[in-house]
Amino acid sequence: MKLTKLSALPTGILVAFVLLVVVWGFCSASPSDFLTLFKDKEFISAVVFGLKTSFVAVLFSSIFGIPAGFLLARNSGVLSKISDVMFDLPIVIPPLVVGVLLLNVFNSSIVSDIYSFVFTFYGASIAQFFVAFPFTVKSSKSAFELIPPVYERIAMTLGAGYFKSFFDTTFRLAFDSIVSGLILSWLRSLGEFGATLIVGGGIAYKTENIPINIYLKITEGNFKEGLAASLFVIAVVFVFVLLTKFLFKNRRFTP
Amino acid sequence: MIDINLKKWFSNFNIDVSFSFKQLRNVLFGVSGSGKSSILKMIAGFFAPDSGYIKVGNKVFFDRDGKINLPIFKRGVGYIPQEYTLFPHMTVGENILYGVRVRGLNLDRVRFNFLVEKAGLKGHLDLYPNELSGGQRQRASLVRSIIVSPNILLLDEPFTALDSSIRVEMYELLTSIVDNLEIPTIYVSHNLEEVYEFAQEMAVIDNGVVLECSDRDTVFSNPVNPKMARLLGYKNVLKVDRVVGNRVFIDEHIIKVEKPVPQADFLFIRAEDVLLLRRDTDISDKENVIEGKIVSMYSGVSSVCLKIKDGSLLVYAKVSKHVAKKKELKVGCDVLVSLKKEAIRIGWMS
Repeated sequence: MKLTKLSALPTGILVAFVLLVVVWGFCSASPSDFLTLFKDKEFISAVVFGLKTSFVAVLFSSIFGIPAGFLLARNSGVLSKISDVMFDLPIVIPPLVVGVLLLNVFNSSIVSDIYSFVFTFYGASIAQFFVAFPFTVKSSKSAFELIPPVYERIAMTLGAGYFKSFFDTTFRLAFDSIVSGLILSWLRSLGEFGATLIVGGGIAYKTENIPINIYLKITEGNFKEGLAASLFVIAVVFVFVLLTKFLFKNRRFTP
Repeated sequence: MIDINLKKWFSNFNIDVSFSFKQLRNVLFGVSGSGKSSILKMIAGFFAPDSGYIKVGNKVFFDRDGKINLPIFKRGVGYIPQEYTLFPHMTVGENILYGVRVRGLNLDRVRFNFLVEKAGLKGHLDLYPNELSGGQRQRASLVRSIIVSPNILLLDEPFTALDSSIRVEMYELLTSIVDNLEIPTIYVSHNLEEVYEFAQEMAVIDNGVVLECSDRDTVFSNPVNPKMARLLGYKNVLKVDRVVGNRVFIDEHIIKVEKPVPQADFLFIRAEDVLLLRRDTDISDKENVIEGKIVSMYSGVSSVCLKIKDGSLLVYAKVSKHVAKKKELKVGCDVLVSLKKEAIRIGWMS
């Protein structure tokens, strides 16, 4: 009890710190800044580009990340453990470095002879996928680890095939956490800056996403619009984090 | 009806068993870690044996030589483990009808109503498993397995986590369903009472091998070796020195058995069959009387187990708490006990 009370102080300081930064931001921006922002075609184009690339990144994250999370949860072999460590790398490597590494691969003759990814939509999508998919893998792994395989086996004894037994039991039970992981991956892609800038080039109306647009606004001295765009990102992120936390809270069953 | 012959090598444990059951209610009995649950899982198809065969009725689940290994969903088994039985994200009704739905069967309303009614789940079909008691969950799980008419029902200590009062109800329900619908069942347990309650036939498993497989009463009354005797609750396992006719010599004691035996390595007798005699009893016409001292006492819920020493002979006797109190039994007391001749069993080394 005493420790809990003691912990309240640093917790309070952290909350105050976050609130100060966010609330101060909102206090500093005026409605006209937002109005100007939404009239800015380059910004709208950046939002659309960001949504498209992050959608592709999340799509591929789910296609590869969910099965990978399942394997890591069910297999404790050496290769699984090595893969698990490998999937930590995109999270800990600075995105700028990821961009440089990807650029190196894309510029190699093996890849560039097939398709030139540099400064393109697909290049930016791959960059975002690289930094975002580990969130899907990690959350899927944690979710699958909590579901005992015996549910699948019981479903099979009742007549369900391999895929149906998995889908009806393990997948449905892990669904909430998987969706949370996908939302995290999506937000990570949407807010990706370094790798997208290096690989995509940040070309206006072509490969510019929201963070790049904000960066360009600030470097051009247009701080107010840059701040408004940043607050817009915060609002979007806040809504989705809330959704992640509370979307599945009202269910009667406990997985 | 059920014919099993299988071998499985694990990294630190081997299973090598062969047994068959002809009755409906069958039990695999053994201590934890003896391999009985693994055998059940191989019958269910959760993993394959390294060699042998598994036959249920006229269906071959597994045959290494015939290269047959039916997948779980084609075996038609009902499997109920100790926990994680019902799917937590489905209501009781959805759980029960899951097998009917995935197999695309037409629901047999009469069977459904009969089972739901019998299991006392009529008003609970719209509830989720976390809204049920442990007993209700296992009853629903039983109904879910039965409703699809399985070829065999496999129960892996399904009632162990339940209160003893609920357990009795569960045996009654299980026995009546199995007998009514004539579903061959294998029940895995390490609990003697549970086994005696349910089994018609049983196999005693120890360290991955079958010690004995026969009908319940034969197994319970004829432990062949000390290991099996201890598993079956024979508290007294006495090492024999030599045998002459029906007289068995144990150290300086002579114990008379019912019939003459050519050879014996051990005598087994349950603590309940060691009778406590009054101190003033005339022992001249009594057989197998041991006069000893109580060296320790272990108290149970309704009985007291006495450890009695006479020279080098140690004998366990079980008396009711009432008797122990009335006779003022305590450690150090001199007592007379008699070993019931008809309750003595003969055992051998292996």
